[in-house]
Amino acid sequence: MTGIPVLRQARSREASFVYLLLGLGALVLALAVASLFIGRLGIGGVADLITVRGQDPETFRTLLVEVRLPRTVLALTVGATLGLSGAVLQGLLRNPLAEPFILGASSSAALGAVIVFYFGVAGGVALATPLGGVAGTMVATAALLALGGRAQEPLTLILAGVALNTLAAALTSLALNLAPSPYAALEIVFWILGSFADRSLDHLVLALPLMTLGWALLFSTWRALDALTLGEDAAASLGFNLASVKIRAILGCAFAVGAAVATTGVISFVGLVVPHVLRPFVGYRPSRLLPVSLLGGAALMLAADIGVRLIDTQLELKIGVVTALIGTPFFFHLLLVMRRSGQ
Amino acid sequence: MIATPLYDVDGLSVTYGDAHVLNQVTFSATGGAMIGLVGPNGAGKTTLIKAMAGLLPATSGTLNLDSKQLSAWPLDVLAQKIGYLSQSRAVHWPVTVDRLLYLGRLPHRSPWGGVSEKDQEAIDTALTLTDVKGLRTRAVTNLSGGELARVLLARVLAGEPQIVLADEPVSGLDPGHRLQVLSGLKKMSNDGRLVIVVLHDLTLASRFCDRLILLNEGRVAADGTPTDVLTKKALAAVYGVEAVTVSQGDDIAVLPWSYV
Repeated sequence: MTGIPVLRQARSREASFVYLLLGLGALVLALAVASLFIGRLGIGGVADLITVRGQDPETFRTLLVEVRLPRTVLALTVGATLGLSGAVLQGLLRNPLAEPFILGASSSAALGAVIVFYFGVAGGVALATPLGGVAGTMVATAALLALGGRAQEPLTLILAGVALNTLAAALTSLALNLAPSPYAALEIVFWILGSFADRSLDHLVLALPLMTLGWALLFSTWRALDALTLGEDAAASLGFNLASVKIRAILGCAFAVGAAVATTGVISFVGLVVPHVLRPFVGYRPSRLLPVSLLGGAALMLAADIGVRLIDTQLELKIGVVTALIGTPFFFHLLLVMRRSGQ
Repeated sequence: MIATPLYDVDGLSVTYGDAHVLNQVTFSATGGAMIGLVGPNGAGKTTLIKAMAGLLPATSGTLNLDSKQLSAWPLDVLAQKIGYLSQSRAVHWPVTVDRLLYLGRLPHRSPWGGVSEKDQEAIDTALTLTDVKGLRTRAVTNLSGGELARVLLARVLAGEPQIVLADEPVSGLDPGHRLQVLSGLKKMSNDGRLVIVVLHDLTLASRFCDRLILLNEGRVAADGTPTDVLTKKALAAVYGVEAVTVSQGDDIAVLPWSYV
């Protein structure tokens, strides 16, 4: 029975996958707790918090539940969304450079939200801004798959993303240009930079169901993503309906990324970095990369958001600015690696 | 023993825009045979094999598998019946050979179950048949062209299909590996499976196939035993070549000699 030792080997790999998930889960949990208690005052602030708790339990509760909790939960869920959607897009398109920001989905979500915001619909219907983001992402992702989804050359897809990003940026600029007051324009710009600060429980209640729906759709593609390792024809011959898989990926990205961006602004490169770093740990299997990237994205975003609060600057750094500064060199590095490997 | 599959192709046409890629193709094929699809570039071989795998819709005509329209079969049942080997050998992530073979078992595995003993047995058989047992822990991206071609064939065989549709499985392989891969496919047809294989090497086609279908410009130009199909006249008409043929027992070696 030559099969038995190999079977055992396969099981031991399953075990290490479970440990990887547990480890990342514990990390997310620890960072979430830290994010609740560490604010602009740094570690020292925790002692103050405890003092407040003793003297004025009501203020403590308000601070924790209405100020800190939305920020923590948003960082966790938006990071999870970006990690997961990056992993799904990379698996679907078999392209390690695919990511919501690079492919223009994030900026299109921002554009959709800006349009809603700009025309004042947001004042009337609270759900309108996230739904504007969802619509923007849906249009962008569908256009992207139509433009470059079957492209053999990975860079063709990136060029399609460049085109979408340029278009979204141009239209957003138009909206800013026509903004009723400089204050309104500034507000839009600041919001697009991406941050978890000053988001309320209401924001969370609007975004969370949409993101959860998006995650469910994104996760439903997991087996097909494994089969797509062999290319589209082989995946179809293994019994997967690729049209359905693509629609679920588009809708999943639209709901999750659209709602995330409409709530926090554009946060770039998380969807690129997280799956790329974690891929070797799951043996390059696209299906297993999904839960791992979800947790990894959440951990990275929580850590980065704690970081921007601890860095001593006069104005708090926008997290979107920080991820862009760190992510861009990483993107160049990946481009160079791909060029060298002749892809 | 494998349940004997049966294809019935009648007046099958596939068009892209105005171009007829397949034009009124008619034949039937049953298990226990190895059938070679031959013909010049652009004759419609790949289109025919993709249509038979259910990857391309027929524009007109009928394409039945086991007396039922191919498109009426549920996708998961079709995936268990048919193993399709694409002409492209692209593997997009550096997974191990083992992992790649597990993909071949996807049609048989439940979404939540692990790898069963039955899966493992099928994989072992496929690894042995294609002589890649020693490669199982290697990353597919580090294999030589010949190793990769055999591993991809092993992936198809691991699914234990009744029908193997292989699009140019030996292109780019050295003579030894060509003979080895085709012998493996021949063995599969001997136990009741239907093996249909696209080949450019006419000598190998004659040597291994029980029957050849010669396609030209989307039509069946000839259909029969290799000696009946690979006549000098047909080779001149379809490929535009003058060929030297050498009889070797029941088989013939075909050497395209000059362009006419």
